[in-house]
Amino acid sequence: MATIDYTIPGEHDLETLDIHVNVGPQHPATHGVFRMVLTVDGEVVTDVDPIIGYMHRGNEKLPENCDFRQAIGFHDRTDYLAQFNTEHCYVQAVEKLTGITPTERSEYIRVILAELNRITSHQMFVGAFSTDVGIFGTAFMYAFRDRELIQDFFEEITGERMMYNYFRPGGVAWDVPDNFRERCRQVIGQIKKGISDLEGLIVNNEVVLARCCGLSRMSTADAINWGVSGPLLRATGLEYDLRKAEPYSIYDRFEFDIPTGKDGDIYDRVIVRIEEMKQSVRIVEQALLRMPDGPIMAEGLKRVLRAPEGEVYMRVEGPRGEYGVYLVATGADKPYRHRVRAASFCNLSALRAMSVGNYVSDVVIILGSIDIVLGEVDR
Amino acid sequence: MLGILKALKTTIQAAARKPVTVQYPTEKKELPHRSRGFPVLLWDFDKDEPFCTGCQVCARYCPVDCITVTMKDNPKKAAGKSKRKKIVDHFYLDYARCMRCDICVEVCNFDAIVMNNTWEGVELSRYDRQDLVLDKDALLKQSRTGRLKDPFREPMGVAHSGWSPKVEEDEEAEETNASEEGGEG
Amino acid sequence: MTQETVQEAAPPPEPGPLARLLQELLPGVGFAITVTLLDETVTIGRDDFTRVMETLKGHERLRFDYLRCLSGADYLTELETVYHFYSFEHGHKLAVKVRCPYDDPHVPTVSHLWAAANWHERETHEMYGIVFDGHPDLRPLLTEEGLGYFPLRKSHPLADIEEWQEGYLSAIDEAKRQAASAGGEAAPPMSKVEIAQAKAKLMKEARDKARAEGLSPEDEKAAVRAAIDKFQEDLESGAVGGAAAPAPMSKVELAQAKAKVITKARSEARGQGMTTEDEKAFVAEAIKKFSEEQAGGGAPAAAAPKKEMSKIELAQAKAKVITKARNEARAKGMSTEDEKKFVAEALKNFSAEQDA
Repeated sequence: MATIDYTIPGEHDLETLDIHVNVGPQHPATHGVFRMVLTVDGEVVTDVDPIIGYMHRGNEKLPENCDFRQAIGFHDRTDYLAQFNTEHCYVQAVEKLTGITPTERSEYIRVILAELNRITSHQMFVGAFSTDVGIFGTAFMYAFRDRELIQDFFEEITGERMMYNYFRPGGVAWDVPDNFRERCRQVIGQIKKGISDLEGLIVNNEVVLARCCGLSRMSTADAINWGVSGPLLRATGLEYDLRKAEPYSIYDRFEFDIPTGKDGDIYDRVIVRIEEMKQSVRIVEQALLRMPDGPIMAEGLKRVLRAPEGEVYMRVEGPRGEYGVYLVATGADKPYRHRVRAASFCNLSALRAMSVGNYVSDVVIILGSIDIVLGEVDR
Repeated sequence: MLGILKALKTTIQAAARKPVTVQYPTEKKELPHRSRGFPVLLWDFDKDEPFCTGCQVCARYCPVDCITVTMKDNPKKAAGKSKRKKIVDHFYLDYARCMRCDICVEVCNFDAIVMNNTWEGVELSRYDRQDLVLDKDALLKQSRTGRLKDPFREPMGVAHSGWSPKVEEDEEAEETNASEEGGEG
Repeated sequence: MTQETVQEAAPPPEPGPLARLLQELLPGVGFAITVTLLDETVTIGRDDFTRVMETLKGHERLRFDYLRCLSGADYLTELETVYHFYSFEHGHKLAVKVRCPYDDPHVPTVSHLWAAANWHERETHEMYGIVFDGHPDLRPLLTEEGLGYFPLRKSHPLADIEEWQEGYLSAIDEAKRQAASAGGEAAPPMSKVEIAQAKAKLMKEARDKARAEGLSPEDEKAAVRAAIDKFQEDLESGAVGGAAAPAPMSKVELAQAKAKVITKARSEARGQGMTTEDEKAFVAEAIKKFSEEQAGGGAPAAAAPKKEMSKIELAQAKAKVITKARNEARAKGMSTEDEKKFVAEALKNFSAEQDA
């Protein structure tokens, strides 16, 4: 994986000392409270020790002491940039356990919102990543301008800008407003323009090309071995997307492509994400056309939701990769075991493999390209 | 070089667009009807008392345990001015703990609690976290002074979001609660 | 996805296609089949574990190259580890479970087969106390080092958590201290800072020695590592901490006691309406008196922590009652409200007993 020939210290003319550089926990390049201890030899990183857990809030323990419906809010707070995707996963896991079938309309609403949420998450990535690369401000502001549009749209539906708590086992909490279709089309139209803006800023940008091409190449086999998923895995050239591989919800009804990269380097990871935004727009457009009227909540639900004995590992394709919820139910109104498989947790565990042998300045980009969300890593 | 020019083109195109931001403290964006601020209690102007009967459903369903409620006999019922047998005695809500999940609003049988959808409300920047534990009067103040015109309630009722059937009379509500929980517990 | 959901309708667990394949490829291994949604699930014994895992990864008809999730679970008498696998080559999905008893929580590691297991195993280790034998680096990942308890086990309470933790940790410290004073030869355990300082000193010494001998960087590292390992062993066997004489009070405790004396003296002085200078003198005298007492045998210091102990003990006993009641309630499958009531009642009984 190393792109630079790394000479061991013994062969230097002068005696060198390994120096530990502490990055974080409060550092703009770490995208949250994340710390890594870099062992550097000159400019070259010889070892990385990622230290996480600053934001550990017991997000696996809390829902074990909560009602099934109460726990939805805690899922917003795991991956706080893709809240609808996490809710979608958890809600489906509960539905699988309890045997509830969500209504048709609510399925469409969920897919539309989850895909829009994927776009906001990738916009956040593009904005933050370009700041890491050195395009200060411009791309960030562009991405956030469009992200704001979608967030306003979400606020009109759910009332919240971040922690929506909107999906429920069996459907969604309340119906979307009457002007949902028109507003969504309007937002989508602007988002498309926004994506092409971002493309213009990033894709052929010389700064990006110079800094990202060929950096931290990862082979497909390595990526699979490290449990890497999502855009990072697709950037290595593997066409694997849970929405196609194990179609959940109603994703088998839509036409979309899985964008892949060639080399698995940083540049491919960015391009894959930009392409994914376009695919998400495609899905939303199709879903808007087909969205039926009707009830938004399954009928005959009890006040206290009890799941029969059983267990399920539900997974969805989040913006960062496979987001999974492992639930064990014992017949009570709360899960006995509740585990969150966080995509960026697994992706981050490969950080050491990705960055050893690169320059210190590049490690910041490598970390940025993983697109970590610390709420999800630390849970 | 070409790349930079291309990127510059995007920048120049955007320079002609209108700004998307507002000057916040002086100018405020219009909030959507469903906007969810912190929960506040509603005041029943007809009976001149709060809607809340202190039934503690919200306290029980709150995932973060930020609500404490107690109930008392309604003095106005004895005087024949109100139909409510019981009324809220104390109501404490810890804004520092609340995660605005909207569950208290959904489970409330009496439409007594809503999420604040205005820019007004309680000042949230305090020197001490204890000051964010609000009592009944502070929570009712906004509704009572008429600064909460049009709170959002789910149009389909709570039954729709899967929590509970809505019952108008408090006696019935208590009965259904008791029987449902007894039957399933 | 729909195929598997159809399968779960049959009451006696039928082995699915994958389970049959496993039985064919691994004769002699007992596979207990659990019917779950989405994935086929098999439970295996700990003895067969390494063999099964190697076959899962290596065999060309299985080739499970992707470890998507590794979770622990606490079943009160046993601890369980669940592995969710996916095979990109065949599209297989499989969940493998292995159980280990509470008093012997050891499972062989799979981090040499799937690198993804590395962090998952570290997390499961710190949350459940399951030791993954052969794991290269089982440091805690999300919590701090030396926590002393396993947060995701069911015996760890969620409510009153601060009280519980405080009581638990101080009880451990107290037990160690008592053992030390009773035995005479064993000294109080070294504090974390002391250990770190001793370790740093040792590392420096080892490094200087290696440099003086002119070793290569690799050998130097190895020498330092060996020294650290030896230190760790000594520490565990109690050889290092044992040398120090049992101190009557730790530094922190001393400082706290001193602070108390100062506060008391000051408030007394203010109560008597002294001037600022007089107050200062009064406080200084009190401090002097306190230090003399300390030097003379620390009689008041020994008395003070004992009174505190009873409080901590009470809190601890209370936490125990809560945990017990909650576990009982869970075992009975009560609803949240009933559980709360049950626990509240248990607490009431407990305090009534205390009063009596």
